[in-house]
Amino acid sequence: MAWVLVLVSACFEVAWASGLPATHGFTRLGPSIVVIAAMVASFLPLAKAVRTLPIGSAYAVWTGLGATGTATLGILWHGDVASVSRITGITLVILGVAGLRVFSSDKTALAPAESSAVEEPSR
Amino acid sequence: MNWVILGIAGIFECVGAVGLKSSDGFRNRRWTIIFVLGMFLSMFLLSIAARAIPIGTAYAVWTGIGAVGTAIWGMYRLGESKSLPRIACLSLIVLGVITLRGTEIDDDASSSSAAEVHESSIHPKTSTGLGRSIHAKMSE
Repeated sequence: MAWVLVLVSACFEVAWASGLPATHGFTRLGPSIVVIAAMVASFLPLAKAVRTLPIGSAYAVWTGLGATGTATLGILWHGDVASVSRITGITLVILGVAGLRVFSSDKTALAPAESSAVEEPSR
Repeated sequence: MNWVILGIAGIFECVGAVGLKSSDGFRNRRWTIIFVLGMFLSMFLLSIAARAIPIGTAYAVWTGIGAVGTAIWGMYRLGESKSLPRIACLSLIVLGVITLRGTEIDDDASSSSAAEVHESSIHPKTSTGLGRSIHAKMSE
């Protein structure tokens, strides 16, 4: 269950990372409020998750899924190029996250939820 | 100097992450404050460093220091696993994030130079590619 919280947390991280440029360095009020709210929403589930998960793994997975999600969103929605570096980066993160799941002691819940993160780049 | 600031930003990211772990789901007030301060200072210093260092590079280095530092802290101070498969998987993730952050944002930010050369080689119909072909025709 804790890994699902990391996944939820990563989704909010994608939201604030994607919205960050719209704040123009936090000079625009509306977007800034949304981004800060997403930041808070991102850290709450992560804080709950790391009560049981090792911080080293959880933090890396959170950062990794956040970067992967942001890049995927960029490719699917913003028309960013699916460059070799982006595909390589996404692949490395997914391999690492999947590997951590295999070797992790908490084998409860990421597997079904993770598939949704994996299927995005393959579309 | 900017690289030193970036390094300190990375260290504060580790402080924030450790604070998050030790805050026990934000139940411990002292560690929660350390988390908030660590993350705030980390991002503040990142934004200062990124004025001189390209944002993609800065972000990649910052994330790298934060994730690796947090993992090392976890292993040596919190008794987290030091098994080879775990270290290998963490390395894959960090490598992936550095690949993503280090390339994408620089590419997008400097849309006039490297990114367009890169993109036009893949998508000939982008403006640069079109401009080039027109330019090439004119010079023929």
